[in-house]
Amino acid sequence: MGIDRAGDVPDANVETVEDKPDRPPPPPPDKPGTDGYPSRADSRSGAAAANETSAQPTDKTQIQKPEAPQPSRDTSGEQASTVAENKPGTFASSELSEGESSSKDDGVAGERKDTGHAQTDTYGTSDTGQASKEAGDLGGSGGREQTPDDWTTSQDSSTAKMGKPSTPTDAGEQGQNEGIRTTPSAENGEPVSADAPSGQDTTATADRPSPGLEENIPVPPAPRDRSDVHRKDDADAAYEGITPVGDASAATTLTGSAEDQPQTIDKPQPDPPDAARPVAEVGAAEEPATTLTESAETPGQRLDDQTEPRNEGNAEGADTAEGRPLGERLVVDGKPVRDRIDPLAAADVDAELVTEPWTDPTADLPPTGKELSDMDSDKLSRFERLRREGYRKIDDGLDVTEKGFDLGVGAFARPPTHAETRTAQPEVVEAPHHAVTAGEAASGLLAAGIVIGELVRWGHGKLTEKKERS
Amino acid sequence: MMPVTDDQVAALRAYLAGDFDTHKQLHRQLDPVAAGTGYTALIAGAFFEAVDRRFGKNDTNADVVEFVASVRTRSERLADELDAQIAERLIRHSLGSGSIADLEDAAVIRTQIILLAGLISDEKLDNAELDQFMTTARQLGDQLMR
Repeated sequence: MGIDRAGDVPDANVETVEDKPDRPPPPPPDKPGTDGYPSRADSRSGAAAANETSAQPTDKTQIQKPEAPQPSRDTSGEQASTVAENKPGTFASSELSEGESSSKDDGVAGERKDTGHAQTDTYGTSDTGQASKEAGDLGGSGGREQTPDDWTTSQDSSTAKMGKPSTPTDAGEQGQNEGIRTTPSAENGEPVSADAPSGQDTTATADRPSPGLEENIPVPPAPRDRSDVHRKDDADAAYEGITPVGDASAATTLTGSAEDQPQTIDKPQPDPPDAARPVAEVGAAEEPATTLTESAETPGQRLDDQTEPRNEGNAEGADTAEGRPLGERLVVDGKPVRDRIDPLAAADVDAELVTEPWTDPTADLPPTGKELSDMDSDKLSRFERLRREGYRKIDDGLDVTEKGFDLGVGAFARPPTHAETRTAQPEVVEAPHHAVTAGEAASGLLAAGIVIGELVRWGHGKLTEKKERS
Repeated sequence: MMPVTDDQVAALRAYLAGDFDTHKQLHRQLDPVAAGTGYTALIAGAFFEAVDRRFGKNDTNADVVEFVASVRTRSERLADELDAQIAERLIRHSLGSGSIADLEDAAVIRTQIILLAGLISDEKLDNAELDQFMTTARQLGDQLMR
């Protein structure tokens, strides 16, 4: 991301710096054996001497620092750009050339070390003996005491070499990116010789925003709208492992400068060989560097990046920081923060894998009682048919209906089912009179003659018997 | 569109109750414009409800044919002017079969009135049943006009 931005920015800044007419000419090429021009061997020896002296704390007054106020830790990223704008005259073209040449040969290790240690020296509230180290660096690079112009030269040269714009940017994100990229070893990926302790330091801080460069920038801190105190607290806790390089305040200052450079490097920086690093810095210093380089795009994610070292081990965070999203890298109680915050995220992913169309599980069930009732009486559907065809709208409705009603009157008459004879009034039928007929009289007379004949015969028989007896 | 009015309901109820004099009186008082929509809708709804009550459960073509024939035998005028085919198609259409889209509007309305009179005469409804029938017919008429 930062590289892309850098690509968008024209390299005119470098040319602008070099085109400054008031700048001193570029330094002459390396001329070993020539008076006034230290050779590479001299530079190495000077760097070695500086390392030896750096082990002993020196007085703070040994360093001739510019009178510029102490830069704010969170504005260190802006300093790279701010210096280019406020102090254009300090970017000597000769020094630029020197910086370029020194970054290509091994003799520059001392100068690199100078930049790496100058960070702690600059941002440290207490001097940690880096001044003597710088003195050694200066001796290695020419045997002269470094001036504020020289300090700015190292950064400027790096910036100019990388073609990064030295113009300031608002809030310093781009400038912060430049601050990190200007680290020679990080940008060029050149292996640093293992025999140069200073080079090791430089390599260890390669992923960080070249602190040494920022130290040399005597620029007042730019006004910030962020709370430095709050960030310092987070940064102190996050980068405790950097303290071997400098004191706690130096680490804090480094954090502050790193905070302002969140989008600097998205790509993993080429890891220098571990053999070239101090053992103390492999685990401690690498993690903050990783955090800085993988800083998020939004401020909220920046804070998450800062809290990452608290939750994870330094070595683990360094291994897992690359190529994974932030939500997976942050682990709480052995569980990614993403899963803790959104437990349904995994379920959503599983749901997306379902490709079969959804089918109604109740489709095979028999219809409910209401549905059966509705289907049984298809009155509604029939009524819809009536609405479409049976309902007619006519203009002469009264006339048509009147004719229909006239015809319908006949429909009220019930049809006859059997024959009927209607009479005017009801009639009462009298009982018939019975009389003796001739046959009945003849039959009676016959019966009576028979009875009388028998009585006569019986009486004659009685009289006869009495006469005979008598 | 105006819904079925109370005057239209009252006029039809008087006709179905056999009070032809009252019906004629109310029929003359109806709005001619509203009669073209609301009154015909009320007649269609009443015919649909009467057919559903008569043939809704056991609807066979034989029953329909027998009913139409009985209506035609009730008077010589009906036997002459009532088209049995149209009458049977109207009944079957109300029962869910066939189509009457090709029939003229006047023939449909006139036939519906004649068949409605025959159906209600056979039902021998009392006043309460007739009121309930008219309420249902009015609701159906309103739905037809929506």
